[in-house]
Amino acid sequence: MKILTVLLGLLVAAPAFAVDGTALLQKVDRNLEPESYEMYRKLINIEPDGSRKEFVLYSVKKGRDQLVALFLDPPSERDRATLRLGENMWLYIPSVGKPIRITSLQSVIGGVFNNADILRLDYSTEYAVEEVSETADSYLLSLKAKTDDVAYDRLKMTVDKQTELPTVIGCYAASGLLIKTLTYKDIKDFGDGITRPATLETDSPLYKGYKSVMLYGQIRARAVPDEVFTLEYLPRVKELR
Amino acid sequence: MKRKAVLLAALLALSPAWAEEADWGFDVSAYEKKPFEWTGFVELRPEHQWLDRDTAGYRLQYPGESRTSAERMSAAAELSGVLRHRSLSFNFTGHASWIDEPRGSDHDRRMYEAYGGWQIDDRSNLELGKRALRWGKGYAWSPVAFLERPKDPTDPELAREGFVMATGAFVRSFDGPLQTVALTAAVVPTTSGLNPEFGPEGHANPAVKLYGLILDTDVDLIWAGQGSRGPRVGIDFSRNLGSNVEIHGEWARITDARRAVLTADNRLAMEARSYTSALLGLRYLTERDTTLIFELYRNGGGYSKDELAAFYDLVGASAANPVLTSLTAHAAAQGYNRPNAARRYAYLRISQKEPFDLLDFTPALTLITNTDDHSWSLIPEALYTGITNLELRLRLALNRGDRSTEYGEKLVRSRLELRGRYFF
Repeated sequence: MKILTVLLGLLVAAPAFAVDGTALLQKVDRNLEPESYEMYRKLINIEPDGSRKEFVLYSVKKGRDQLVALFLDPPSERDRATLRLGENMWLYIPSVGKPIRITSLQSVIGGVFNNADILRLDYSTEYAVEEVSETADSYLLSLKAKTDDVAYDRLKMTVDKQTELPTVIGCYAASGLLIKTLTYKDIKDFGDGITRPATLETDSPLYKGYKSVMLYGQIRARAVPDEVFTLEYLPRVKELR
Repeated sequence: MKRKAVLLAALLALSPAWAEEADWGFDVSAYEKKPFEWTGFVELRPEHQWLDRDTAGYRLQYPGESRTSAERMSAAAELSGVLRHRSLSFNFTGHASWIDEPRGSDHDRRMYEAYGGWQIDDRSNLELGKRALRWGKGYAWSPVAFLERPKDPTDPELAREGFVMATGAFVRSFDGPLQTVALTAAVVPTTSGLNPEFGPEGHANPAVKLYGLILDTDVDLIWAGQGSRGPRVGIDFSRNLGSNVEIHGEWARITDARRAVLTADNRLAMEARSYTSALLGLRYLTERDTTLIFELYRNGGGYSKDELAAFYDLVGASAANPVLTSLTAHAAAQGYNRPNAARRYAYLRISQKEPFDLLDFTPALTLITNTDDHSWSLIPEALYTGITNLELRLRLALNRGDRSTEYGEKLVRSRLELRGRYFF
């Protein structure tokens, strides 16, 4: 009888622990973007003295781990392109004329965003859900990088229960050090069923006083051939627009 | 109510964060593709040189003069653009420069690139015209760059002039360990008016590059056929070892390469020889945002320590014996005085992003060493990019070494240069 009571108790309590973290993370990914898309973004680096630097990026993603981004502005960066295939990343600078391998922790543009933020793959591609907890209006996902090549060892992601979209993500090194905090804001309808935050802000205890903002201008589903995500195509990415 | 409104207005006025967010605008339509797009820069570069009068470089540049310093002022403009029509495009990069130095003023203008392209489909394209192909993985040097002009290791990211060529490329992507295969074929014809700098005329100069992304490693196999230059084969690779380390390497075998050599009886002879060149390098990013690029380069076609010393001695002798002047000038032009004419080099560049909270400021230190004669060039520099579209670079270059060594015999002992570049 005692055992039956415990079992019944567990069944009653079960819904609180029944959240499938992996499925939730995949849902978060799809709510943020279609798996294959094209996107226009503006990145703003705000420095401690209030001065700002702006960059405009066009990017195309396909499937789980193919992504290319092209700088459209400012003129000093124009036509620079970055390619990501899984954990492989390359930077193409027109004057250099050939793609150079870069690492995910390197920052192409300065500021708090690094390459892994700018060329971000689906969270569920790079991270495994270790733990899920919840409050009245949000879930807290504890994520662990699947490989050592991922820029942040752990993420703590707060997901709004109603929209199933992330609100705040803490990015941690393997040592437990908080590297940066990402904050999603300003829910906007981008059309084609895509309703998601239009602003991503980040700050970091490592860059005191600095702040970087990513504004999403256009996101739409688009399928392109795999060959677009090759070094051969990198100088011609601007033709995709 | 009035007090509340005043308080709210005061709070809003005092809130820089609000002010910043208020004018965050993003008009995507401004970035749509247009039939014609262009970009470019203009630059001004004043320079002061401290000269060493006891060097071979000085005797070649300022024979008979007694100058201890030199001022140079140069200006340049570069314009790049693309004109599109469906799957056809025309791309160009034009470069114009002007320089004023003690020996006079000079100017130059040329097309670095001007070629038409046809994107046949997503996997293949053809290009025809003047094109700057860049092969190889090296940062400061590229032994497998068979179809291009040599890069300046003190400024490897500068644009360079291409050659007139026809190229075709085919690329395929796959799932699995082999992710990408790309085949590029090129011909660089030499005639009386076409590509005279590439080599003797009357050759097609075919070349093929096969690229593969295999097990997350870039690999290129490169072949260049017999023509204006001897046959060459090469291989290069590049791979990330982690989220902050990359390694790369190149190997090239060059056959029947022609080289000018000074003989014991003071003649300049052309010899054909085969040699191997190689490069090994890494790029490392520390937790403090310091980037290190390190490369070791073996230039098989370069001159040995003794061969270069013999040339420097001959230039010294020519000061007292004018009969030798034309020989030394000829030898210098044929290869002895070209940048990195020796056999073995090491390259180290350390750059630090925004140290000590100095915004938009990137100091860097570049060391290039001739590891045969232990002479070196050290280049501290500071880059400032705090003004939109303006890039300012202050650079000091120090050349040091014993007598009869490569950097010890440079005309310039120290050089201070400011480069201002405005992008539009």
